[in-house]
Amino acid sequence: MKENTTQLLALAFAAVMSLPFSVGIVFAAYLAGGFVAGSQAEPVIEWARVAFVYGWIFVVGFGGYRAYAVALRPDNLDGLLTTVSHRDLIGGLVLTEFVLWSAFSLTVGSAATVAFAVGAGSLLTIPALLLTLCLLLVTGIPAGFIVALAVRNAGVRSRLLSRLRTLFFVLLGIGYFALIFTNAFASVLEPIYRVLAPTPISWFGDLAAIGLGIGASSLRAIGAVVFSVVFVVAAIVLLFRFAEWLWYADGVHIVHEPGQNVNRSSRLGALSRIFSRVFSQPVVGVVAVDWKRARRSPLSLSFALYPLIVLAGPIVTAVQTGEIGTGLPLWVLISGTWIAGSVFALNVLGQEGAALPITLLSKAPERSLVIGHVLSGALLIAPATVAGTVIAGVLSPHSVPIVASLGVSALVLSAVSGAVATGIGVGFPRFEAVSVSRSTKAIVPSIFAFIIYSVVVLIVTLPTVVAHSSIVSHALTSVVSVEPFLVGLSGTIVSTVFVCLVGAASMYIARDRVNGYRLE
Amino acid sequence: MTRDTDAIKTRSLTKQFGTETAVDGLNLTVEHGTVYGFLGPNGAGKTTTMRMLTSLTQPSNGEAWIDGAPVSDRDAIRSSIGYLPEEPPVFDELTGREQLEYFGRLRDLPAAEIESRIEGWLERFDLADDADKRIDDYSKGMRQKIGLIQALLHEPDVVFLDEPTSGLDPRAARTVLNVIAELTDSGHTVFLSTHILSVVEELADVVGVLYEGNLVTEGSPTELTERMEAEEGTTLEDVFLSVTAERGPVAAENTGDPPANQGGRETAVAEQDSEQHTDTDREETEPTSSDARVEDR
Repeated sequence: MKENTTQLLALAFAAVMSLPFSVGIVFAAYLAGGFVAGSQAEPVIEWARVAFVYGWIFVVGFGGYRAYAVALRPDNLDGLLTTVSHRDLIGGLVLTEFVLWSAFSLTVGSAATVAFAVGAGSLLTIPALLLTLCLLLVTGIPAGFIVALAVRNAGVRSRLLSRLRTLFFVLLGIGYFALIFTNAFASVLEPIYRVLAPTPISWFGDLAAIGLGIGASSLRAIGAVVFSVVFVVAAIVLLFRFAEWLWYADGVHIVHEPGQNVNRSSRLGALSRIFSRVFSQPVVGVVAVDWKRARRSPLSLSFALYPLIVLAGPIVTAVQTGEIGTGLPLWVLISGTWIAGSVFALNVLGQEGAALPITLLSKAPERSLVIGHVLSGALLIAPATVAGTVIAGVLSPHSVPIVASLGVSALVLSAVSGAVATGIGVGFPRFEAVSVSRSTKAIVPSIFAFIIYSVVVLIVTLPTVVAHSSIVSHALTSVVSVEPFLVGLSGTIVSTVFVCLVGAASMYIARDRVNGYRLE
Repeated sequence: MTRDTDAIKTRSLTKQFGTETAVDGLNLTVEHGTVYGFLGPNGAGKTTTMRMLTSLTQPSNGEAWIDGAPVSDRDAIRSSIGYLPEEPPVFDELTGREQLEYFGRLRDLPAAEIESRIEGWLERFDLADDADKRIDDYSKGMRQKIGLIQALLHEPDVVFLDEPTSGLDPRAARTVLNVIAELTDSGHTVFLSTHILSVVEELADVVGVLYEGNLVTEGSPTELTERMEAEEGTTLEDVFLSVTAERGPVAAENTGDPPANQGGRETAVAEQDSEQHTDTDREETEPTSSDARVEDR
């Protein structure tokens, strides 16, 4: 890392960005200290116990996530395991995580501890709180590793889990966002808290509160230290054993059965034959390959998640209220348009990967690649966008003519947004595969291209959105006495002209760039 | 078959990456129906040369032609060349057959023709039974075979092969060598870059050795070994080691071989210390595999 300037700069940037947050924590700790000093004993010690149980859950949860996602996948694992023992390796990985956590926890934690002690007027609190923080990390991080190792061991040994891994992660992602949008995190954490509350984990609260005079139990405080020692010893044994099981496992090997995709492939073949009547063979080839690759590696379409996340909010609201407002069809239209361009057309050059040299030497790649990738997204997403927009529109208070206008907008915008994406994508191609999940790497568009594309999509859809929003529509109707339908239609026309112009220009740039592309 | 143009011709072909000269004033001529063995140590500029000859990299200076068409005009040469890059050009998510169909379609070959040619090549390379397995389940050699088939699928006149036997077992490697021999028998030209000297010794009509971007010697395998003026039993490997020794130009002089690429060699190689050798093949710029599945352990 010492020689990696970018990494050092990123760390420095993160440190600067976290400064206000850190200062906030320290100040909050000072206020909390003052509050505790002036409070009655009984409820405060309970709060301390609750806080440290939830703190432990956080360390285990986040530490486990990091262990699963990052730490247990060191570069050149085979090389490491032939150089050092699995015990040394897992010990090193856990220690690395501990140092990483300590960098923040103990610097900001120390400052917050001092601030809290000053606020509370109790100097004894400083060593007590610091010790508690250390024990929290010393027990929580190994616990997270044990959970992660257990999950990985299960995944490596279970054919079913290996096969359904993608589905599992998709469900997990949906569940995560559902929790965010429904504010239901407490319902998940509460049962875990109830399990841990009667255990020595809650004794950390007593240890931290020693010296505050709020009813902390000295016995429990000593018990927290003893528990931590015992826990760490037990954790070391488990870590060694689980790591050995994982890294020397004769895990299941999933071979993609030849017959697994035959039906789907034949369906695709039939579709290809239909499209062959309309489009050239190279274009149909690109579309077919795009769809096959996406179906077999759906995580490469990860950028489509962002529009879906945006759409999740209005849908959850509609479900919770039982009403579909005038805004939902617009959200469906925006999200569909956004997705249609981002799934296949935003990295025309890069997603060819190792095949790019050969693709460039094929017949008219500038036509087949650009048109093909645009069609891949449009044929797949535009029908769903139009259907979703129209259905939501019909169920909303919008009039039928307005819904028709929205449907036209949805069709044009989602069909052409791929064209908009192509020119932006070739300007910022990404060739290297990046981790899109814990176990899969894929070539995805550059984040910069995605941001620019998102802004452009927002701009071209804006006339439609504004003209079909009930507020603008009513305002214009009352001021200039224009029918709402005409207002909506004008928005559709402006968006259509706008997206077609931008799309044509973008495709021209993309074709030019692909045609003249050189591997330098 | 008599043609009025050479299969491959270059004139002072040069490629610079910033201040580094990867290929320095390369002059070579390859006749139709021959195998040109292109040798050189790692970083000599072989891949860069192949990329320039296939129009994938723009030369900094000089010119090159494929069958009389300038490489600067990609449209003019794309149907007449086939290229096997060092990294097999495959998508891990596709099956071998689907990958080949994709390339066939991109070349706009008739659908029936694609199918029959793919079947033929799959049988030839012993891949028929695995053709409907996904490429991420393929071995390195199987990927290489798919890469080689795609280079030949459209029956190009000139085929550029970058390490075609890399990762292949002896049987598959023998098949590749037989295919190359058949190609030249039927009038095709093969530009073959490899580190396996026995392959070149067996197949090449002409051998060129590239060293630090300069063509330091060129001739038939027999000519090159004769030029060594050494004891009996001198092999192409001895020639290669000699001309690519630390001081290339001096070594080349020892072969009694006049520099094949005089300007570049005299001006660049003689002044360069071997310690300044840099990896100018730029392999690292080649796009990586599309969707690499990471070992789940």
